[in-house]
Amino acid sequence: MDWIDVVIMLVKILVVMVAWLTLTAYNTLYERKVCGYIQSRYGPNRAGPLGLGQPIADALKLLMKEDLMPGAVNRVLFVAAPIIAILTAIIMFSAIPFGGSITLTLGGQERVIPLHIANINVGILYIFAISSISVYGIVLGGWSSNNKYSLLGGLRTGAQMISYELAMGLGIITVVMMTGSLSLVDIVSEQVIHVGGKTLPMWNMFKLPHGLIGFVIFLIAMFAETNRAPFDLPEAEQELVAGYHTEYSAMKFGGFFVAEYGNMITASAIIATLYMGGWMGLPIVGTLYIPGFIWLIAKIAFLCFVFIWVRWTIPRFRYDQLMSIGWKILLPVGLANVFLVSIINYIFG
Amino acid sequence: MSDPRKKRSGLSRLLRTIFFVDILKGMALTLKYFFKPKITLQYPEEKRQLPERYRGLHRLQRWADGSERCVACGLCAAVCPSECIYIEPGENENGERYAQVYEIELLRCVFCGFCVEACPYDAIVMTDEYELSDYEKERLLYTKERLLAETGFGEKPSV
Repeated sequence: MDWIDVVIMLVKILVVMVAWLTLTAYNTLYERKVCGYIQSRYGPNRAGPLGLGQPIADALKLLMKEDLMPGAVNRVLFVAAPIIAILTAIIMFSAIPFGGSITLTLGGQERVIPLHIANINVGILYIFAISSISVYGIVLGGWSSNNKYSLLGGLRTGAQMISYELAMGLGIITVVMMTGSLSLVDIVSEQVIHVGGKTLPMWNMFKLPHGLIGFVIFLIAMFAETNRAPFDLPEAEQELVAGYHTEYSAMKFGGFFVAEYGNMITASAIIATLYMGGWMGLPIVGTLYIPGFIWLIAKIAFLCFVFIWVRWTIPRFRYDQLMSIGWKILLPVGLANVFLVSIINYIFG
Repeated sequence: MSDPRKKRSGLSRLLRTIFFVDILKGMALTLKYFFKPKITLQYPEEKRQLPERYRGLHRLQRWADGSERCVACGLCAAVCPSECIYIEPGENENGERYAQVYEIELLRCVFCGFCVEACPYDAIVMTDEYELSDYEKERLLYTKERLLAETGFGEKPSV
């Protein structure tokens, strides 16, 4: 590996980071716009054309606010919590492939540049591990605030995320068993069928019935993992003020905000990669030259729309309902689905 | 659409739960609203259609010959619940009463319209002008010159 490889890698990391942050920033506007449209309003449309300057205005406002630190907090963890929350959301993205590969002539020789940051051979385990760590951001934020509402919100998150990680794991295992690989690059490239010399996309979610069951379980678990409605109990306003970020203000609150919307982007990218063919496009005439990352962003945008759409449709579950859905429904159905996939693999594989 | 009060059988309920029928129905409803026309009025660009008898900024009327209708009887000031009208009566060269000073302190006015009802000469009316905010208090003290209308109506009765 010479220095050009290092530069290529740094450029890729920079591009993905900037793209992730931009998508996250505009995801907030997206949420407010879709929410407005569902409620017969327009949403923000004053800052710049179509309100496109709104995320910039919001970020500036948060950055310029006074950085308050309540007296009774644990200072180190109070500052660390939002950083952990953002960090776990962004580093999960590094395993997601956003294209095949491109060939460039650099430094006098042709180089094949694969369009993913890290092709970890246990990529899906890596994502699973990081998503477990992301609980820390919220739990520590709730604990270090030294506030009963924050603590309750943090504890709820802990219980919720750990319960739904099981269901999420079962959703992942379904894909792993269908693909036979833990690498996300392989998982994307496996979602095709060869019909008469042509390669057509065959998304995992359309492999009936096990793919669809796995997809639904994984989708529900992802809603719970990202703490989005109807599983947004950690920040149930009516009971917990603002949940784990009650004591947070200014850009430290902004950190949690970025983490929440960034998690939505990352979760959408993971769902798209595992079940919806990742960066691979649809066989529509004339779309052959649309690059893979555009397809990935389109799928992310669609899935974010689903996230937002569900949030403004379905009311929040009660805490015991949340637990019973996770343990009594998703877990047994997920296990049964793994069994089903094994049988299907045995018969056809 | 079936009657939601009708009791369903266990199997039907189970199937509806498994296939997320009720959730999908709700999602279809919100999606329908997503595409419906929006009801927000884009205020500074679009203005509300005001009712005919809207009570906005006051205006002092004139007779058709251009003289002021107000005779400074003080009924408007007396009936005003927030006491925002101040009148100093005077007498012109023809020996007629008129208001030397007629001031409305708009910050106190509640736009009840009692002054309009009390006026025996229809001298004070209310317009549909409602964009009255200002950065300085002084400018919200409306003097007679600012309240007087340009045009008048009605023949002045001869005494």
